[in-house]
Amino acid sequence: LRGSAQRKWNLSKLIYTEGLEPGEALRKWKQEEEEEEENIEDDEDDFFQKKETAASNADLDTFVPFFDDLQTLKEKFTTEAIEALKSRFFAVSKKPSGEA
Amino acid sequence: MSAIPFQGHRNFRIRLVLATLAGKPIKITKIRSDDLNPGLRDHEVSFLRLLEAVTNGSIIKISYTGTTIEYSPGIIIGGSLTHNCPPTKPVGYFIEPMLYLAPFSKTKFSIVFKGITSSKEDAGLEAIKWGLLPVMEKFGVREAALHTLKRGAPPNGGGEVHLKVDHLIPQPLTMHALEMPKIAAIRGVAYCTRVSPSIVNRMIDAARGVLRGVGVEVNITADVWRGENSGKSPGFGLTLVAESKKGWRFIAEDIGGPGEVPEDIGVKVAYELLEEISKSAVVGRNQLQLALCYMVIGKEDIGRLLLNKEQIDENMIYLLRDIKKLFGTEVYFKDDDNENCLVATVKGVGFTNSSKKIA
Repeated sequence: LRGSAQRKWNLSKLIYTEGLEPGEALRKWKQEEEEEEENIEDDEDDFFQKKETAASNADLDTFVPFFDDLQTLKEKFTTEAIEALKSRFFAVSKKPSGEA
Repeated sequence: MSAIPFQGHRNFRIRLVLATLAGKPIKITKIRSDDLNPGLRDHEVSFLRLLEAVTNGSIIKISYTGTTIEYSPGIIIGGSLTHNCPPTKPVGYFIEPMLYLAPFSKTKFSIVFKGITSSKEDAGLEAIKWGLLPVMEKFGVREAALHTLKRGAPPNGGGEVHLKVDHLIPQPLTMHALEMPKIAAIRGVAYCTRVSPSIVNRMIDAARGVLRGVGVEVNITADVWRGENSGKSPGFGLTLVAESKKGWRFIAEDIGGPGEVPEDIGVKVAYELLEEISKSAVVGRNQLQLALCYMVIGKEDIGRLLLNKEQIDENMIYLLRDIKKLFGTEVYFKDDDNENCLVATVKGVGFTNSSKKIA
């Protein structure tokens, strides 16, 4: 219980910690999801980081989000995966749902 | 008032748009300063011109090298105008940010955009029509429409679209979307210009083949453009929309690039739609920015939006930091009963359309 309370506090904190690269913040948050008992003090060690300086040619202002390539997606959406996704559809799904 | 500093070319449009809504001057430095070809791109300058045209009293200063700009926003006045988009970006790049400004304008927005109408990175016409306008409707902006007069595939374009937002509101409604919408149907549009009409059917068949498994009605319209209204280049594309009964929609789209056959596009877009559904809760990733920004500029009340944990990515963190810099508002995340989801809660800043203050 303590863990869950800490976790949500950490996400908001991580997001708004200027100087922490978003990728790094995400990594920390996701890792905590997997390993419940991670030492928070470790996080503070790499608090100060060098700002990203690499020249980036990438267009950082696009509409279409990132997708894995088609092959990965094809492997991901097997018949079972589509079956699992059926709870999101109003269809002949396994569990009958009343809510609109 | 000293300008709020930003760096780099990330989120270029949304930073300028939010600065306009917040009425705060900003300064963006180091725009591609490490690049071989430093500074602003044609489309970014074109966007600045558009921004200047729909506002009154904006001051834009671009440094000699184009790596620094200062922007001091004026008030949003809207009006009727025509914008010629450069060939580097499609009209969607310019229409998307206008959706943030249009409802809060002094006069109605009625802008004709000319240029390329589709691309692989930016919003296509159907994505705006079926993906973004419905989100605006959820926030109380009705009577917004995008009319396709001519389609224009890249690279030569020649398209023409008309954005009309006839509904001016003082501020967006407060959002409370905590239930995962159920998708009732999948619709779509397969379009082509200056190529054989059989191409659209090939895309439709390929997409249907993938989506057959999900068990909802799949209805994809063929939209073949011929003659003068079909632009200067051959091209084809597909947009798929998963819609719920309550009006939430998820979209995925793509266009045919060099060497791609229609079947590839059909299959790819169908899988991407499934991926988008599996990674989202109430809105898709490409609608999230609009939804969050509208929540931030809402009434001084707590708005809530259910998110999938997968939706928290780098782009979102950059967006939330930009919002905080400009509005001083933070979005809080609460755990939801569903362990894959979070609830984003944000208190609106109490923004009011400056031309609607007397009421």
